[in-house]
Amino acid sequence: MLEVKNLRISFKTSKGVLTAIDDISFNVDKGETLGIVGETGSGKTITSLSIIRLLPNNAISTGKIFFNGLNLLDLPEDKMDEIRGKKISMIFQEPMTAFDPLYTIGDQFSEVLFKHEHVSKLEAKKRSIEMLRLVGIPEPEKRFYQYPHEYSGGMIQRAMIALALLTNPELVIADEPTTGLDVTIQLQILDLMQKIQKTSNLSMIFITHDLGVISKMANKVMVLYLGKIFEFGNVKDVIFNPIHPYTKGLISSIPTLSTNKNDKLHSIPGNVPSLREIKSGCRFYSRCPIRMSICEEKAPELIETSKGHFAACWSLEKNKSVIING
Amino acid sequence: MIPMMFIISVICFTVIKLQPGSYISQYLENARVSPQTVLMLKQTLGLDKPPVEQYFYWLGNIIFHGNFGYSFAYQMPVTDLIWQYMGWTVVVSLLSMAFTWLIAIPLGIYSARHRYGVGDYTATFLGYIGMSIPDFFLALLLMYLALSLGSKSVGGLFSVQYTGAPWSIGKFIDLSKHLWIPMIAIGAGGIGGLMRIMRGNMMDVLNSPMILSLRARGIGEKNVTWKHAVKNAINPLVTIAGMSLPGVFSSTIIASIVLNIPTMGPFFYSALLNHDQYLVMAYLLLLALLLQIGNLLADIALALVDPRIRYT
Amino acid sequence: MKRKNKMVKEETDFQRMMKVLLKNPFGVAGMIILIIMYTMTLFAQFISPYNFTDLHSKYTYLPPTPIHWIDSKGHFHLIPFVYGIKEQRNPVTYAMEYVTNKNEIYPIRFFVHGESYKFLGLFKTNLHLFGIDPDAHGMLALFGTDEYGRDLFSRTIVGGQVSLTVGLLGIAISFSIGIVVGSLSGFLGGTFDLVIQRLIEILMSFPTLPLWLALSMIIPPSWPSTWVYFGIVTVLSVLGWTGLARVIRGMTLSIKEKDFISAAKLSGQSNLKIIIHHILPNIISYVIVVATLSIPGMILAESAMSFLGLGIKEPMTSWGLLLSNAESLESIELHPWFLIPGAFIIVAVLSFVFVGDSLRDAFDPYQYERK
Repeated sequence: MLEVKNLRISFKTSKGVLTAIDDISFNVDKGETLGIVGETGSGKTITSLSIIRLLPNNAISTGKIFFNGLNLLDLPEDKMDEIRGKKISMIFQEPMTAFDPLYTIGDQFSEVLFKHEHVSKLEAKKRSIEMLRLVGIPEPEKRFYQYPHEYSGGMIQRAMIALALLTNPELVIADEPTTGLDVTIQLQILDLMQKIQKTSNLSMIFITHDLGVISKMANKVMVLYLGKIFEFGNVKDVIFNPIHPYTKGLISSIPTLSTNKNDKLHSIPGNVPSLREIKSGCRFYSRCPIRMSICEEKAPELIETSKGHFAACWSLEKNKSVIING
Repeated sequence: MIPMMFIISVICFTVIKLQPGSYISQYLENARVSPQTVLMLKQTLGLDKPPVEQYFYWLGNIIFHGNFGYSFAYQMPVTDLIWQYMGWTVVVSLLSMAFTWLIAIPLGIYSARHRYGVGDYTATFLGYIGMSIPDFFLALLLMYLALSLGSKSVGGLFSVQYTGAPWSIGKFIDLSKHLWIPMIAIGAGGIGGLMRIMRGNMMDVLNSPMILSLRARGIGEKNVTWKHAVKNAINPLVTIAGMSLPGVFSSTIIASIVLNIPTMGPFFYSALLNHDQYLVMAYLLLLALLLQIGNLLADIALALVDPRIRYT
Repeated sequence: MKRKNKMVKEETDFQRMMKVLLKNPFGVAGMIILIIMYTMTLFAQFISPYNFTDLHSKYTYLPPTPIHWIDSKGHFHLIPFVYGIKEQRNPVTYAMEYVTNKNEIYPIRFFVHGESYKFLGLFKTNLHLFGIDPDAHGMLALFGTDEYGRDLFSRTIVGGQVSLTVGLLGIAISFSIGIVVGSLSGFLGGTFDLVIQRLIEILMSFPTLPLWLALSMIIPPSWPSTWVYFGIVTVLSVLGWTGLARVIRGMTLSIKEKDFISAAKLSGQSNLKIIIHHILPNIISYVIVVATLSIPGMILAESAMSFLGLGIKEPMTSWGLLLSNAESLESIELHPWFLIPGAFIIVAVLSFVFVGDSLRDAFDPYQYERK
């Protein structure tokens, strides 16, 4: 349903052109949830924004993004508007700032319905209230007439999910939708999203830095680091049999219930370098515990290690022959 | 607010009393008026009493009788005089404000959307020029312009044939022909500042995360800009509108004097020159009061348009 | 990483500020114009061809004198010249009027000896930058003359002395008051602070213009022109200090809480010393910007007051006072050149606005991140 091919995203800045996403490819099938994992600066949000073409003006995107066979990067703006909010919706991290404080929730919901489906006022109200009810907001008839600031944190996030689902989209991109919420509410929201996905066969792209959430929500997962895919595969494969040292590092830094109070938390040494400092070779070189000399010279390609499981690292068996033979 | 108004009234009074001479000074020079008449005049007008007594007399009149005194020059109660000319003052002020806003807001929006472009700099530049022209000079320039273009409707509110005539379509058209000069002369100065504020607000809104979310809904760039961005940017300006009301009132003073328009301005001016103290004091008091009311109105207006404020 | 950055940071704050200041073409243009204007006013009497008070009854209401290079016979003159003016009886109205006399040619020379004056009140001289033969039957009136035959160009240049200095003096006084009151108020707090705050609130509840007009009436009409000048300056400064005082008070309050003040206090420095050495330097940049942006208001106010006859008095003159000649419709129709001093006001004010704006951008520490 969604096929991203050789996507490259660069930004024109006063200090030159910076490439944030360097030639990545992935796809999402119907009813599937793709999780994108990465630290801040890995490019996860930029990837999601590029799909619905909401990158800032100084961004240059090359490659292809096929949505049901249509290359989104070629579409004129008005056609793109027909897809945004209707076929592909987005859920943002900060729900309170995602709504216009001067209009009621009902107004903002109806606005979307008027634009995309040309329904009557009554119909729009009915559907909006239904959707609010579906996401678990109590007294939706009253809430319809309220303003965003009258909603609590968890409720406004539910409203956002409701808004994203209002037009029965095919793909929902959720960018850290539960970060910043209470843990209990987090779970409720995630359960809600899973339930809805099952009933409507919705596809999702779930962006987060939280591996726990990924293991719960996603079928496939993609590990991003500084604009490159380091590992890709089924969620079970990647999390229980991680190949890339970065993925391994991420997983081992999560404290578990068996971690002792006095144990030092494992963390990946160093910081994510800035985009300007990228040299040739593997981007993880400076922090990798198993780095070799070849890693500094050439960047490894994504190779399939087992069925559907890909990783980009020189340490892979299949690469060893390449290294030995030069 | 009440104690403030008290002190304000004292200041008004002091300022007038500090002026050398009084209404009767003009008669002192006049050889035809005998000293006895002058003295009698002084007593009648209450100008012979000590200043402190005069103050309380004046204040008492205002509080208990609503009587703001008597205009020496125009021989009528001050309240009537102000009432007569308040009408036009309000009309001209509101029209000038409308002019300022109708130009500044769209320019501000345009500048924000095309920032750092040629249009942005040009608009800012023009705004600065507007701020730098003294309003009386602008009035003079506009008069000159109108004259050289052959217009006969320069100065005053009505042409000779319509003055005092009953209202008609013709009179209305004549009025509009005369009104555009004062409207521009008074309103031009405010365009620059307001435009910059609107531009700043608009830029802040356009950079906010809300805009990204709105665009993602696919409602179209037009809706995003006009229905949402502009509304958010204009909201805070409502307070500015309320607070600038008294400012516009005083801006009408000079332009009205130059253009001979029957607002409070020319009367205040001649009252000043004539030491027509009650008129001057009443007008100053009125303006100060207007400022307070303006602030209050501004707060109310903001509560009306911003739902977040209503519940605090 | 961090050490490397510190070594690179060679340029001081001042240098960085200057760079930004000079980048803005408007600011630079404004600066240049202001320097030119102020220099002109300094040498006003030298630059004017005539003394600004001298009457030339033969040449009243002259329009600006045209300057020619080619005479009526078609000869080209290297040195530009003006024609003479002669008196002639109008054949239709029988009134005496002045017409151009193309037979008399007066070349414009530099460093002419014209009417005598006292340079800056110091020494007597009669050297003028340019002009025509003092015995000529005509005038080099670049901006025309008024009803008394006084050269408007000379009067405009000299008028600049008043118009440009009133604002500066007014700001200097009101800002001194504002800084002193504001910082004392913030620093001392207590009842003093409360009283001052109320006072500021009250003063600010008056719209400035009517109050300025009313205050200017306090200046006795019997005062000589120079006293009136200082009276006007005082009137302008009386209302100008409140805004700044309020902000200074706020800044003082926030700085007061900072640690280095407690350190200074502990080390025994007197209150006054603390204010001068620690608080003031942090405030200076803000004050400079606000000052530059407030001067236009004062210049405009003075011109408005003088225009209405409530300001500068003869024999002194200012641009506003010169414009009062143009206050009626007939005046503008017949003698549009009376409007010329207005252009000077606009240019001066605009220059201040540009300089102030670019100063504000230069001082804004966040300016560099935004682009």
